[in-house]
Formats: sequence, C-alpha cells, structure tokens
Amino acid sequence: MPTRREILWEFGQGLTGIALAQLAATTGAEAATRSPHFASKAKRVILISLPGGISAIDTFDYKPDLEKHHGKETRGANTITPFFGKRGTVMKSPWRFQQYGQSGKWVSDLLPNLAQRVDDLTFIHSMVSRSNAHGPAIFQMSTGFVFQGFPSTGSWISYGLGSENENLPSFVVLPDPRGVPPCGAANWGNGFLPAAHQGVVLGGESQPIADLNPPRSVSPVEQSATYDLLSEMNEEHLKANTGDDALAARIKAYSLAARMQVSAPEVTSITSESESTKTAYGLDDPVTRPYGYNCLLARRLIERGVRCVQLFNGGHFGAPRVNWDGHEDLMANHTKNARILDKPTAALLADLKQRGLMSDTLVAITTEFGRLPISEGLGEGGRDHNPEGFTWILAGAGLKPGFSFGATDELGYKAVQPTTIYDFHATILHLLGLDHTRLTYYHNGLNRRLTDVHGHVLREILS
Amino acid sequence: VVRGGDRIMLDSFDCPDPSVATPQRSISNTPVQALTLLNNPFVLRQAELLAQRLERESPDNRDEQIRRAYALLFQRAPSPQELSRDRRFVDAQPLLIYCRVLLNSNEFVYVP
Repeated sequence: MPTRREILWEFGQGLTGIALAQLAATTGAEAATRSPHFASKAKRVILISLPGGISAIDTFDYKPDLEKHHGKETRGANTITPFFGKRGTVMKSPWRFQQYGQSGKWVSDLLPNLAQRVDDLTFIHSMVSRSNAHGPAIFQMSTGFVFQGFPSTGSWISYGLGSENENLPSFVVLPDPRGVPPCGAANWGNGFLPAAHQGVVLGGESQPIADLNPPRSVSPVEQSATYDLLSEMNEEHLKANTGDDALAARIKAYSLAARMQVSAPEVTSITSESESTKTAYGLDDPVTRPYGYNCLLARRLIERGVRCVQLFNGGHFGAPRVNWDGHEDLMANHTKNARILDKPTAALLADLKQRGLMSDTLVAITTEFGRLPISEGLGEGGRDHNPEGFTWILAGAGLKPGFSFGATDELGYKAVQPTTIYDFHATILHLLGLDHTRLTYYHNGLNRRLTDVHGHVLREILS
Repeated sequence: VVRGGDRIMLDSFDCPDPSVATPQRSISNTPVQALTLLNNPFVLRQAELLAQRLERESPDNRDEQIRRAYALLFQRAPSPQELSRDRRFVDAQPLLIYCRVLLNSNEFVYVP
C-alpha cells in the first residue's frame, strides 16, 4: 500500500513520472525492477572510489613539463593556493611514464597492471570539484552535493532502475577493509529517497555480513517464530501509524534480512572460484587479499543482479594514513596504496571483460580530487589537494574504449575546459538509460535531481 | 570531535562529518542493521536481562509479564487481542525469545 508521502509524490510527478511511478505501488521500500527512460547497454554499475585523493599527474595524466619546471616557483596567474597553505615548488613525478596498449596511453610505473587495461578504459582528465576539503569533496563525489544528506549516486541508480534480485539489496557497499571512508555512511545514504535505496554495507572476507545468523542458543523454530510475531506486530503498528516511510522500510529491512540469511552465504563464499581467478585478484598475497576479495565479491554481486556496488579503496583520513592523502611523502603513500589497488582492480576489469559482463556493466573509478603539481612546502615530498583538475575513469558498456577526454594545463593544475561532477553523474545515468533531468524525487517543494540544476552528458565519450 | 580524527565508531552510527554543515543527521535503515539487532549477542543478552526482570517482578504469571513488558517498553497496556496473541507465543517459546521480539519491534525501536 502506498504511503501518504508517496501518494503525494506520485501526484506531484504528474505524467512525467510514469516510468518511475511503479515505485509508489511498492510501498517505496521494495526496490522492484523498473524500466529505464530509454534503451541502454549498461544495466549495472561498479563504482570504485579512492578516498584521500589519488594524484592524476602521477598516474594517468602525464605531464612531461613537470620535469622541465621541476624546482621552480609558480607565479602570477599560475600561483597555486594549497589547502594547508604550504606552497612549495614544482615537483616532477617520482614515477617513470611509458606508453601502453593500442591507444598508446601514457601511464606511470605506479600502476603496472591497470596500465595493461588502458585500451578498455575511458579517461576524463578535466574533472573539477567544488571543494578542496575531503568532507565536502567526497560528498560531491558520492552525492553530487557538497553538503551532507543528499541521496548517493548508488541510491539514485537503485531508485531509477530497482533490483534484479529480491533476495539481495539493490545497492551494496564494500568499504575498504582498513576502515570506512571519510564521512562514512553519508557516502551511501539514501537522503530523502525511500530508505530501501540506501547502500547496504558488507564487511570483509572474515565476516562479510555481521550477525547474519542467530547465536547457537536460538533454535531455528524460535528464529522463525520470532520473524512471524515481529512482522505481525510491526504490520499492526504500521496500520496505526500510516505515512511514515521509515516504519515500512524497517519492515522491509527485516524481511530482506530473513531472505539474505538464506541467499548471502552463497554469494560471499568464494570456494567455487578457480585458483587462477583467486590468484589473479591477488588473494594469494596478504597485502592485496582484503581488497582483492572485495573486488571478486563485487563481480559475484553484479552477476547475481545487484544493481550497484560501491567499492572503496582507502579508508578514513587521519594518522596513520590509510588512504590516498599523500601530504607528507607522496612516494611512500601512493606506493603503498597502489600496491593494494592495482592488481585486484585490473583483475576485476579483465574478469568482467572475459566473462562478457563488460557488455552490460559500467565501471567508474573516482576520487574526491587530485593532487597539486607543486610540493607541499619547500623541499618536501608530498602533494596537497587539487580540486581544479583531476582524472576520473569510466569503463564498460556504451563508452569509447581506450579514449581520453579533456585535459589539464601544462603542469596538470587546472582543467582547460572543466568537466563537472554533475556532467559525470549525468553521463553515468545516461549510460544506464536514465535522463538526469527526469530522474527526480519531489522533496521540500522541489523535484530533486542527482545533478541539482546542472549537468551535461559527455557525448564525446559515448560509443 | 576533531576533523580528521579517528571516528570509525561514530561514522557507523551516522555521525555527521564535522567539516560540513549538517542541518539534519542522516539515518541508516538497512537489512544489515536488522540482522544486528536480531542476532547480535549483545541484544540477546539484553533480552535475557529483560526476561529475568519480568520473572522477578511477576513470577509465574505470564499475562502479568506481558503487561509489564508492554508498560516498560511501549508505555501502554496491551489490547486484549495483543495479550492473547502474545500469550500463545510465550506459552510456546521461551520468555527470552519473546523479549527479543519486543526489543526488535518498530514500536520500541522507532520513535516517530
């Protein structure tokens, strides 16, 4: 039964919301499959997010001029204002660049495995963020807005397309095994969208889903009696308190929890995977295994109809650093993180392609901002935040493979023609068959969008 | 709360990031949380303590125990229908399991 809020919402939508109005018929909590706005190749998404800010100019945005200007000050219009205020001099990349693949893409030695995949990737080198602080910037990456409380990209996708598997959540989040990213759950929150579209967090390999099963002291009969009485009590309580989305969502959460108890162990167990697959994902190496397991799990979830998986490589900020925030020693920081990121991510891309999943799956690799071409302080070896020009990567269905779009200036500081995060989100939705101006939710007097009032689909990168 | 401090515990309970303005705290509501509230040993321990209290305060009187549980958890008396339904449950299942149901109910967990 639709709740009061949804009836109002459906009414507010009028005829424009017909494609999505099926949602209202399912109490807003159930994420049933829904039709996209138009035909598309991509049906599902893996979002790989790199908190801390991976450097573009030390990975995929090759700037030979950094070598030429190494040690010089930036002056005049080129003066750079770092986040922490410690302005150093131009710093060349400590890594060597080479060309890879048919596309001849320049990639640094930092990511040797991902370098082998460049012909499958689509690079956007002109990304800009509205903030140079992690919190707001990571919110913009995840939700489009620099403030907390807006629906995450995965939630919008779940809302727009629904689920293909009623026994699993439509939006699953796999945080870095070293810890949740900055701002935690707000990165996968549903904001004002129905709560069923919130990302569901799975833990690491040792316990993918905490408390999936009751303690041994509770018998199966007691467990099933518990579910029965609980659902009866909650249904009656809902009848007496109509119009509250959270109550319906809690009931759905319990019913999905009960189904997950049955379906989840099959997904999270990787015993059926071949040894060569496990090795490819780096599971034979204790350094790459935790993140590698998550990459493999992402593929298994996608195969079983989960609509969106958001995978994090990097945890919270602070000391010791467990993400890409290479302020003090870029070399040490990025080397350590690249060692974890490179092999499993490249294996995931290769595996998706080899299994034919790339033909209807989209992969996005994002970070909250890049890093400055100058050192952080004179004679120092770190780089500060750069929201003025950085690289995001797409791969998969509907894209031009082995293609680079946009550019930064000769030092890799500012985007020449900026591509906004709104543009990127509009493009992701477009690739999934959703028009970002029509994927709306009526909230607080506005038809809210992932792209606010902005965003242009990047037609140049579409195949 | 310090920006950049170690806040893993706070984050998992939806604590807003201190570097941004947060007019309203985001609220999680997921099957994983449902599983935790159902199956975590901590919750089972609380259910056990509640069951012990009900036994202590209303020994051997099932109806009275149900009424007491409603008063403690919901601040109201059960309706006659609720009382007979819950009585059937506690006659068949341990009181501890009944307390676990109540601690998981929307009426207890969710304050509108």
